Amino acid sequence: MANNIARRLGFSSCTAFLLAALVLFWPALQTCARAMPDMSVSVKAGFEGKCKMGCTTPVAVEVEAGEGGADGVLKVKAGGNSYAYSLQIPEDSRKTIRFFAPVYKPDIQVSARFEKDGRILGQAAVKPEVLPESSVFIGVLSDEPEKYNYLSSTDFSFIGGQKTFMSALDEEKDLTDEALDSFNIIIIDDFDASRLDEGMQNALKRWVSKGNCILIGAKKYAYKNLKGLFEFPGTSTIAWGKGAVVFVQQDLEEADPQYVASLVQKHLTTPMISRMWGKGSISKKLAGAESLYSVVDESLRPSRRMFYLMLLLMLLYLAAGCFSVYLSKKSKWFFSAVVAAFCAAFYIAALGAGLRDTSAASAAVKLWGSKNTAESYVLIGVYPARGKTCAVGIPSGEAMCPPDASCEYMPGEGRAVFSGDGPNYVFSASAENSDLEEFELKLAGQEIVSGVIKNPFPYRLNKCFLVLGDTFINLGDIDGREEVEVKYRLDYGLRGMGDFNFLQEVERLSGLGTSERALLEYYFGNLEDGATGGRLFGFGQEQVGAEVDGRKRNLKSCTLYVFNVNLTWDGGKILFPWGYIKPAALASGEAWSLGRKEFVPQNTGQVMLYYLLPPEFCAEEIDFYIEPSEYNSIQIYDWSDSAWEAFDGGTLRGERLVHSTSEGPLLMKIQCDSRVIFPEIYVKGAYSSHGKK
Amino acid sequence: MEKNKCLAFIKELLDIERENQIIMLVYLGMISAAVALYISAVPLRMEGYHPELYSRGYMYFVLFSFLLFSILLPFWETEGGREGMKGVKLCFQAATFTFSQLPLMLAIFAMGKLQGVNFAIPLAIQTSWGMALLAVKYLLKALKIDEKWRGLTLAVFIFTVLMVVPVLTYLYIEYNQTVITTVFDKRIPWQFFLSPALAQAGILYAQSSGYVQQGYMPFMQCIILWAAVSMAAFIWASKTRRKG
Repeated sequence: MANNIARRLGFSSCTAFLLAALVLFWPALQTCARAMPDMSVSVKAGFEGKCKMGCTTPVAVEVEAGEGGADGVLKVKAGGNSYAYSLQIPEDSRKTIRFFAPVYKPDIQVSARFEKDGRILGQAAVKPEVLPESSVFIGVLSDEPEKYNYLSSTDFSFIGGQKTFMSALDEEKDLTDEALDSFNIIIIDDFDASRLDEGMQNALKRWVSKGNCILIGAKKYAYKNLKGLFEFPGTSTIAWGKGAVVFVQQDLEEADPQYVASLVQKHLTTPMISRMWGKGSISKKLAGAESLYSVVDESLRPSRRMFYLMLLLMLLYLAAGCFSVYLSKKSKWFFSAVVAAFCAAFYIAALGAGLRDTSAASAAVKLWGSKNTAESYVLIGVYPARGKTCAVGIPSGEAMCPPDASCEYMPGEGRAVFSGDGPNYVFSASAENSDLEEFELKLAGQEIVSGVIKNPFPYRLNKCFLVLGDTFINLGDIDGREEVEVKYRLDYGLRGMGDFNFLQEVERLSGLGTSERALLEYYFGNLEDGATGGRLFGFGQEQVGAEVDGRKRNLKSCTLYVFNVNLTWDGGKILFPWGYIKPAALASGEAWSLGRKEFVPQNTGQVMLYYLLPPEFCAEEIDFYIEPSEYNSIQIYDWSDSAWEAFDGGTLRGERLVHSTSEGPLLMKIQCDSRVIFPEIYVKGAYSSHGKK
Repeated sequence: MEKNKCLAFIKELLDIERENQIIMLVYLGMISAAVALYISAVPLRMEGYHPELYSRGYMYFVLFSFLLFSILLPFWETEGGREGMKGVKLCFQAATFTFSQLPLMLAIFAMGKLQGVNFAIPLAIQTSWGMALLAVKYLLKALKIDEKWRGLTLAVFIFTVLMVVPVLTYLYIEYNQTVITTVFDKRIPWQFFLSPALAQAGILYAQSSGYVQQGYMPFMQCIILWAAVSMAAFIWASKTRRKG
């Protein structure tokens, strides 16, 4: 009995204790529950979870707020970059933030957290699959993209592509410049092309113009595909800028993967090759932009003129002081008045010179390389005041800060905030539609090139020059809207030179200063894609509009303008002079080398050269200029026999030429152990009946 | 009537004796030459933009002009004008002398695109030091001390404050084996920073490198001390003159 009572007492006291604890702590629990807002954060990155190294990847962060809504800051870390968005979400609703983040590490994590007053209210992270740089990424625009999964087995090893991946394209989200830049090939099939709005159409056009390729089904689903932008019945290929749209006369649902590969091989372009290996990535262009820091600094350097002006003002001050001393017998107050007046005058002059503005300048390269497309690569440098932060507005397009910068990028607000001392830089790359007509010069008999070059801008272009293959033509300064007549016999003065000598000779002939040389070297080292055609170069000092610390300002800028120059010919006979068609070089295990004139092998003694002739061009004769070097052997690929054949130089013509160029690019393999200067070609031929130009 | 009195007051305040104007002109000429030589010899010869060179130039300029100011100010003529306004007038003249270098400072800022530099602080230290020097000189004159002993007293006073105090600071740091990391280090007793030379050095270091431990307290203490010294000296001199 005693045990029973003890047990009951024990049981009662435990129950009483629990009830008391519940009563005491219940309000606290309720308070805690109320203190944490009801919300969730989710993150998606990549195209179906995949993204390509060296390109930008789409990131979508969804924040869902429950009772009470949410008001705070969304902080996202993607790769090495930080992004911040101020968000106010009403009760029981969600908000999705979308932006593009560069991928330049093989393992990146995208993490997002929603904070308020330092407290983390929700967080999420995701790790997208990063495809290697040498992979080929195919985008499929279709109502049933899963039918084309077989494309993942396509072999693109002939262009250095090690693996192939594919992803469906969402027409609402993925038809933008930033998204399309990740893809190497786009396939459109079983898709109503009339659904594409103007923005989507322009994005696709710009993407192709950069040298890319769209394969569009023209058989089973032709009734659906060939609408709107692609309404070209009975056509096999149309060229847009440097790229092409190929109308595939086979059913793409069941085509042989190698057939798809052969179509791409036939329409290969150097920009397409460069993007296969991520040479076009913004992170690589940013790494090369270090050489432009000196250009920005040079723009901020005070000129001698400013120093002499300052000296003059100081002398004026002293002279006024002497005059006051002379007048002191009559008026002793005059000296004080002079001091006060010059203090005010110098202060106003200093304000005019930008005393209260954060020092900022820019260096830029602007390219008109493809029809209707203008690309801008701008480096803005700022020197914020000690201990202060500085916000720089980011122009449209992709932007990146150097990896070691203490920079927070806010794409939602279109600005980057720097918090460190010393110079800070932000690099941006953008492309936009342009109605600028391409320059054309006629190549007539006796190899005389003639035509008119007109400055399309209202401001002056300095130190302009043309590089047509291996010929340099100096044009000097061209005033705003001025026309310059060109009549010049091609002299091939730059033939047979390596990269360094070529650049040095161009700089010498054009009389460039230090900043201009740095811009030109940056262009040739990072932006020149080796596409066929001549180039017109010019330099400008006009100011660039940018937002610094919330204020729109005109920044001093040193800009290099590069325009494509095309040759035209009389009659049907076409002639591509020496150096006009530049080879793309590939050594196994190494990255593509484009727009270069030489190669120094590191691992192997073998390099492959791809001479990409324009679409629909039929070559009749190709001459080779081979600089005497220590070649072990030179071979040319015969597509008909699928074999390499030895080549001793000279001229390719007749059957051998047809076998070497009809099914793909002209391929040359060189065995060498040391530096080799690429052979140059001189091509004669004609365009087929439905070829462009 | 009131307006005329006001104008007369302002005119008297602005009046500077001819000898003093020549002293200021010599000062301006020397510091202008120093600025022009430094800029043409150092930053302009470098490629690119080097704001740290202009920042350093600003530092050298402030220290150089402070020392030159301390050397030239004992030659300042304190006679002239109404007795009742003497104190105010001498303070105003010290401020005018100090601020006459402002255009050159702004020229350095404009050329080097320096911003966020508070130039008023070193100028305030120099002004309060100048006021104290003039007040002490005025007091010595009021005490009817012989001219050559006045000069000697002033010279010893300047030397003690500007040279001896920094040397004592150095000895304190060395013999106490104090580890210091900045000029306004908290391990250095605040009394040493009453020397305007050390206060200027500390302010300039804070403005160029940004790291201080005592904030701007030493600067406040320095200004308050020398303003108090000048006020005390003027009051004493006025009383002595009234008695005499």
